[in-house]
Amino acid sequence: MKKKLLRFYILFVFISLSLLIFDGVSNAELGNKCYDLLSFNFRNFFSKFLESHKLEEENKKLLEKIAVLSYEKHLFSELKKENLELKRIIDFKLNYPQKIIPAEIRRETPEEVNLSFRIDKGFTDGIERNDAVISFKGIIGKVLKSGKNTAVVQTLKNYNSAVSVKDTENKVEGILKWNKKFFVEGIPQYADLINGDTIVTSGKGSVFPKGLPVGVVTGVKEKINEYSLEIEIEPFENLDRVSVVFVIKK
Amino acid sequence: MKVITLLLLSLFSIFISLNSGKILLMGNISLKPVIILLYFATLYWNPLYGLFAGFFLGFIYEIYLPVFTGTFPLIFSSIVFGLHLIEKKFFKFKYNSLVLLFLTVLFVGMVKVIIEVNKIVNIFWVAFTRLFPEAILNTAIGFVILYLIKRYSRE
Repeated sequence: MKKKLLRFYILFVFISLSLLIFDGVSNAELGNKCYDLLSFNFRNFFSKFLESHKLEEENKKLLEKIAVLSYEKHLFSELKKENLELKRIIDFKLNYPQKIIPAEIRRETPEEVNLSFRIDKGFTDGIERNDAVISFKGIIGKVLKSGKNTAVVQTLKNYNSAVSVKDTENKVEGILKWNKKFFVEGIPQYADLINGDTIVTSGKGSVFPKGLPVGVVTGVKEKINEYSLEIEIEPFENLDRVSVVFVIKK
Repeated sequence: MKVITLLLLSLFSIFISLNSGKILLMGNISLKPVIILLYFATLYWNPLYGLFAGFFLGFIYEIYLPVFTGTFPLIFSSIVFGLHLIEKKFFKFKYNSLVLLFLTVLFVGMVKVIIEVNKIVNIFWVAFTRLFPEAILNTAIGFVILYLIKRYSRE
């Protein structure tokens, strides 16, 4: 046992002395790095432990604050959107020569979607039957009936709708109708219409004034045994996404 | 099992050593659990364990001291070997044998002071304000441990 101990002692002394010499020569900073790893800040640990309850409360308050701020942020974002929309409406109104009344759409029943909708203005605001209704991009429909504070607008997506339109390039006129898709009837076969032509209202008829944008030509079909062409139209305004409309006073 | 116990005790003692200044605020006085562990492991358990523990703990012990690597493994190994050599010269189960622990702590403290202060001008002042109180504190802890050893060995 004693010999074994002596052997190990000599070995350890040898290793220690070797390291001492090596460390003195190389100036290694191994010790400092190890200390950083092993040293543990007790006071901080206990203070953190004791303050955990306090931190919990603080955390709860902060979470509540975050919730409020998040809600406010959402609100501000909505207000910003609304502000931009109102700015657009004012600009549109200012640039439009005729008297127009802005109105918001109230889609109260799902059945009304696309076919007709209610707006938040009625005859007290000056809205009458057969007034034209447009959006920022193009025509939407006409006022079907006007109540005191609301009115029903019939959109162009209606089997009964018929709007007199013309091609801006060729000036040829036709009737815009809807049968699951928009098309123009009554365009003579000699008319040189191509895809991408712009279609506007012609001003004939009692509802829509002249020159309101309607849509673009997306397809031209020649009908055999018929005098006219069938023109497919893509309206400028997506009727499913409209939220603000303008009623044009006659 | 003994090795694992020694390992755990070593880790615990080195942990206390590195953080004792942060736990106990007694001026410059600090606990020396590593020395206490080496002392009792060598004299009352197995000197070989004490030698191994001293050598490896020395490396960890010195990492926060501005010394060259290998200084404390050398000192601790030498302390263990020296304790083993004089083990039979006295009766280790008597309380007055704790004077060895007192001297060991004093010696290690002295080495640390020399390393830290780097000059021996104030060594006597340091000895009275720090080294002796430190040695007394650690001997007192050794006293408690020896009391427990005696009590349980009797049982």
